[in-house]
Formats: sequence, C-alpha cells, structure tokens
Amino acid sequence: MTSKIDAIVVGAGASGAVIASELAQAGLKVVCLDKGPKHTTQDFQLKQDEIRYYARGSLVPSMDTDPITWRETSQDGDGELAPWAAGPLGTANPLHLPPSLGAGGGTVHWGGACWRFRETEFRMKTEIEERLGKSALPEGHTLVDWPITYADLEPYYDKAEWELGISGRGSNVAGRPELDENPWEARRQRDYPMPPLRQGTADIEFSEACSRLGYHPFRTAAAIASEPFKGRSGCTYCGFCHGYPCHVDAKTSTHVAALPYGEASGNLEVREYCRVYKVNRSRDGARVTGVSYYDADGRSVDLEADRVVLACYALENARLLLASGINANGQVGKHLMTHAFGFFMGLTKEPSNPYMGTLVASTSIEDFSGELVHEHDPTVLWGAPIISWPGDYQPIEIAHAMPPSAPRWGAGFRDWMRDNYSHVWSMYSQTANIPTTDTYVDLDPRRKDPWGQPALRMTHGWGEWDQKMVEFLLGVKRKIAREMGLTYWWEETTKPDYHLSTHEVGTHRMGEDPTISVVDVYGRSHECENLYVVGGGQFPSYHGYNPTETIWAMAYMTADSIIGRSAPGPVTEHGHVGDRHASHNHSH
Amino acid sequence: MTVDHSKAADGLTALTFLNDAEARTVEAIAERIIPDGGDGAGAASAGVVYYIDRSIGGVSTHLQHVYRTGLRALDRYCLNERSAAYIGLTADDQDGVIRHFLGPEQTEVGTTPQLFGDEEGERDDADLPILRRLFAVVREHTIEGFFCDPVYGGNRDAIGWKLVGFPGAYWGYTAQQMGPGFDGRSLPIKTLSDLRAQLQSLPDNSTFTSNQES
Repeated sequence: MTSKIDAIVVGAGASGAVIASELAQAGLKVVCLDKGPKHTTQDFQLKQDEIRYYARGSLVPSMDTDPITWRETSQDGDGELAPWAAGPLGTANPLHLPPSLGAGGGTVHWGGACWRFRETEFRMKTEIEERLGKSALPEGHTLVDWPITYADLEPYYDKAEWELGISGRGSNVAGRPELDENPWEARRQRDYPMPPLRQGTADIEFSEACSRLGYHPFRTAAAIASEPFKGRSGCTYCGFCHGYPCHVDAKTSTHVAALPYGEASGNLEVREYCRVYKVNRSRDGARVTGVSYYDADGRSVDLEADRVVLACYALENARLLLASGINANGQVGKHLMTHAFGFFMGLTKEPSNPYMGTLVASTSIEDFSGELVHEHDPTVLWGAPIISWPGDYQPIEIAHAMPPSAPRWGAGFRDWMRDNYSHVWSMYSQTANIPTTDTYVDLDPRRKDPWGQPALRMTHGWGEWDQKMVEFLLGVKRKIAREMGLTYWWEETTKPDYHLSTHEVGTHRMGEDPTISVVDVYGRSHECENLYVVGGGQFPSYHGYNPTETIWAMAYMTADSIIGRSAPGPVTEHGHVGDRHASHNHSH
Repeated sequence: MTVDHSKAADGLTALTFLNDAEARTVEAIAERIIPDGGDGAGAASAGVVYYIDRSIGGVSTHLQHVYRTGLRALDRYCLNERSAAYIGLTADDQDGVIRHFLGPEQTEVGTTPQLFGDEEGERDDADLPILRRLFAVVREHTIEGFFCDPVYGGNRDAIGWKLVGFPGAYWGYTAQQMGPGFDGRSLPIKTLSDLRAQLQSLPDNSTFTSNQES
C-alpha cells in the first residue's frame, strides 16, 4: 500500500465495509480499521456452539473492555455499568450489547431481518401532529422529520438488496401486480433477488392464524441467501443463526458480502485489532487529518488521510466525536433512540422443533405499523410490524427465557425443559422510544476503559408513551396466540430493563441545518468538511423496523457522494444506468 | 477406600481448579438444581462439575474467588445452622439451603427474586452476599454444563440434549425435517466432534453446504 491514503474508514461493519469497498472499487486508496479480528469462514466452521457464542458472547465486546454506563434520567446522578449486560457470571448477554467486534461487525451475529422503511416513517413527526394534534407528542420531545424521502432512498435500497443479497417477496413491485400480500409496502422498482427462506411449521400456523383474523401476513425479508448467491451458499437452516456467525456464508455479513470486492481492487487494506481512540484535526479545526489508534500490542499509531469515515456504530461514533472534541454545536450524542421488543413467547400444540431454521425465516404483518395504528387506538403514537420468530432457539437460551411462573431450579425446572423445549415459539415487534431532551449519550465523567479512554454514558428511560406502543402490540399478539391455539404464553414487560437493543440510533443526527444536526444527508460532518460519520446514528426518527437495510442504503449514498457519482438510475436489463455511468466517472 | 466419581464427558475425572472436597460440594448443589428424575438425567451424571471446574480453571478465572470463599462460607453456614457439611445433609435439607440463598424454586408471577441489596440481612450475616452470589453462579453454571457441547466437559453422553429433545450440532435441516408432524426426537444426536470428523473426511465441504443431509 502506498503511503498516501485517500480515506480511513473506522469500523468494518454494516456501513464501514460497504463504504470502504465502494471507495476502493472506485479507485481510492482506503485503510479500514477494526477493533476486532478479520474473520474468515474457516473460523466459523464449527460454530454450532451455544457456550462459545451465547453463554460467553465471544463475538461481542465486554463491559471490561468497552464499558457503557447507564442512568434512567439526567437527575439520577452518576451512571452504573449497564446492569442488564452482565449476568451472575459477569458475562454479557449477547443480545443486549453493541454489535460484534471484527470485520462484518453486527452483520456477523445478526438475525438478518431486512426492512425498507415505509414512506410515512420519513415524516413521522408531521404524520403524528397532523393526525393526532400537536400536543400528542410528549413534552421535551426532539422528534424531527427526515431531510430525505423514501423516493430518495429507493434506488439505494434496491442496490443494497441486489448487491449484498436479500431474500424475500415484494408486494408493491413495478409491473408485478400479482405480488400483493402486504397492502402497505412502499413501491419498489423490482423484486428481491432471491425468493423467501423456507418456513418452519410453527411459522405457517402463525401465518394462517393472521389470515383468519383478517390481517395481511407476508414473508419477512431476510439478509440470508435462500439459494446460492454470488458464490455464497444458500441457507442450510442449521438453527445456530441469531447470535452466531454463518458457516456457509449464506448470511449477508459484510465481511463476505462487501469487503472481498473492495480487497480485490487492490485499493483496500483492512487492519484488524486496531482500536481507534481519537480523530485528529487541523490547527483551525475545519478539517480532520487522520486518526490515532492502539494496535494489538497497545502501541499508539497515528495515521493520516485525506478524509475519515467513522462507521463504528451509533454509540462508538458519538463517543469518538466527543472524545476528539468535535461537538461545536452540542448536538453529538443527543436524540438517542432504541427498540423495545415486546417479546411474546408461547408453546405450540404440535412440536415447533425450535432448534431448526433461522428466526428470520418468518412471517410478518404490517396491519398496525406506523400511522396505521391510529385507526385502532389514537392514543398510541406509532405502530410497528408484528414478526414471527419461529426458530433458532437452543436449550441454554430457552432456559433463560422461561415463563415467570416456571420453576427456576429443581425437578420442576428440569421437567419444564423436558416437556416444553420442543414446543417453544415466539413473536415480537420493535417500537422505538420517542427521543427527548433526556435520552442521550455523553462521556462518563469518571469511568475509563483499559486504554484510559472515557467510557460512554447513556441516559435513557422508557416513557409512558413508549410503553403504550408496546402494550398495544402485545394486545394484538394475544389475539394471534389465541387464534393459533398456543397452550401457554408469556410476555416481556412494556418497560424492559434493557436500554441497549443492538438497534441504537439517532446520536449524530443528519439534517440540513448545521446548528441542530451533526451531519448532512450524506453523513458529512457540518463541523469538519472531510469527516463523515455514518450509520444508524444519522437517523432523525426511528420506527418499527430493523435498521440495517436503511443503514446500507445510506452507506451507498455516502459512497456515491464521496466518489462524485450520481445515484443509481432506473434498472435496465444491463443493471443500473447509474452504475454504468459511474464506471467512467470516478475521479481519483 | 475406593471412590466412585462421576466423570466428565470425555471420561476424565481430574480437577483443574477445585479441590476434591469443593468438587463434591459443587456437584451436590448442581444435582439439586437439576436433579436426576429417575431416568439417569441429572447434573451429576452429566458431569456438570467438570464443566464448572474447567470453566473457572481456564476461562472464567474471575469467578475462582466466588467458589473458593463461597464454599468455605457454605461450610460455616451448614455446620452452624444444620450441624453438618452441605454434602452430609439430606436432599430436603440441601434444598432448604438453596432456597435460603437462591430463593424458592417457583416465584410468584410478576415478582423478581431479590438476590442482592438486602442491606439489613447483610448486616446480620457477613457471609450472605458471597453465599447469594455463589448459588446464583452455580445455578447459571449448572444450566450451561448440562446443555453444553460435551467438548466443554459437561453434558456427558448428551444427557441434557436427550432429555429435552435437542439434536445438537447440525450442518442444517431438510424441508421434510422442518415440515409438520416431524418427530425431532428421531434425529440422531450430533456433537461438534462429530461435525469435525465429517469436515476432515470431506475436504470438498460437500456435506456442510448441502441441505439434504439427513
């Protein structure tokens, strides 16, 4: 690699791997730094191991190395180490920590739920105010509409689906009127590149129950190849998916779906075990000059480049900006949003065999999404899809998800697991807290990580309005459970004790007004002209959907902006018009 | 004197951290947390104590003190309150000790067992915090050691997996296996060692990328 670097990308996860690869393929010299290892598929051949990946959370960071403190409100004094993130053994529950370390980031362990946001999600604040009145939103809320629309992102959603590989069946596809399962899907220029994953038996029961209730079930789109895709294998339904890496590269993890294309260009160097701790600035502060990081042996290394892209998750992006003193307008870390899942578990009459398949080989309904919920209950601010979670459950995980009425130890515990494990089934939804002046992250005033860097502190609680969304959807789930004939069910509380869902967003909001946002619509910093801060942290509002497909779409948009390439044009039989144009247009 | 030890999944009986007396006590507690129901499937026969010993000897060294000081405190408690060491108590009395520190088997719906922060109780008994922590840790470790892959020392002969009907480590499942009415208990149980053996015999990876294996 030459000494001159065009771009440093910090983080090789969902957005970082895509941007690094796109820039490298366009001819820019790129160095991508990640805290963790550069995973290979060989590392994961024997990944069917619940101790390694679930009990010991070997892919995710620990509170020892990457501490996060939490307090419910800003009146609660100092934060404590995230109490939901460490069980009796002091190890993390891998569900409730920031995404995986290493190349691929959170897309290594994720379940692969893939969603486009609907049109109205981009103007959630306006929709709520117009439908429910200005006073409907809670006092102190900081909700804003997005500065872009669904139409702006559609070409990039399409690109993400076809470049990276998503399985599903569209419902509102141009020229395909026969595809119509989900009446509320936003218009799409073409279908997914692969058909939906194979359903398990309990998911079919869910789907049929929803139809009988008059709802509109459709297959959840999945970032898992349902058939061979670009040299990757189709899914084998091994049942070790969510929380686990893929042993056949069927899962759309960016270390196999994006990084190899960048590396093949000869312009991308991925440096593993590099922990960036500071973004360095020019003397006048208007530009960044590069980053400083600790290597695997703890040595500090300074690296210079023409531009820096921070792509290391909404939380670490904010922490790095704050630790680097890049926060002139005080907006960094504000507007924190995350998901409550409303988990609903039950027992099916016939065996569900929950150790087979993947959680996202599933079915969803959108009958109560977003503003649609207002027709049913105008006191609920915003709805969300209800999603079946039909499989991918191992015994230790279920031993930690038993109903509160079940014995916790002794013969009763043993017998409950014996009699019920093979009948477990679940569904969930995702509702985000409304951001307020009291949901934010900042630097912990006292706690440091082992390298002496300040820990991140979260201030986050669930408001009554947030709990109402969870409760409404739990009510629908109870109806579905009855219709399915579940023999028993139990529910997560409307006020979960976790405040990290692995879907944290909003902490470096994008917007056109540089006084009230951190980055522009391309993720470019308002404060330092050659700094980009990308990912879910850009989201101005948040909804009922997993964030990653939107993060991918925005990453492609950022890459086009850096390269000086226009958006992908309409699809032709040769692919995107914009893609062909671009191959003659990059300038570096 | 000959001693009939339980065995780890690999048949070995040596210890890497716990001393012999500690191991016997831990095994006795674990056996009350997941007791043999007369079908041979309990924590002792699954070799859970070897899972625990190897975990704290190698990976979870930060928990060594919980076992060492906690088990000493348990001896003190049992001798003071029940006039015998834990392993000398009847099963009912052993359950009573667990109930005292871990809470009842079954809690009332909607309540969370209060395991920490009982400051009044802690003033009365300096050993209370470590004993509560010990039992919380042993419960957690017992579940792990009962359902782990046997490579970790527990789940000997896949006792835990057989009990609940979990077939273990699979490359994948077929459409027929995922379909309605399929009896999952008819699937042969496989461990990570079985998968590794297949990897070595199939260098072209044909098995683990195929969905059609049964």
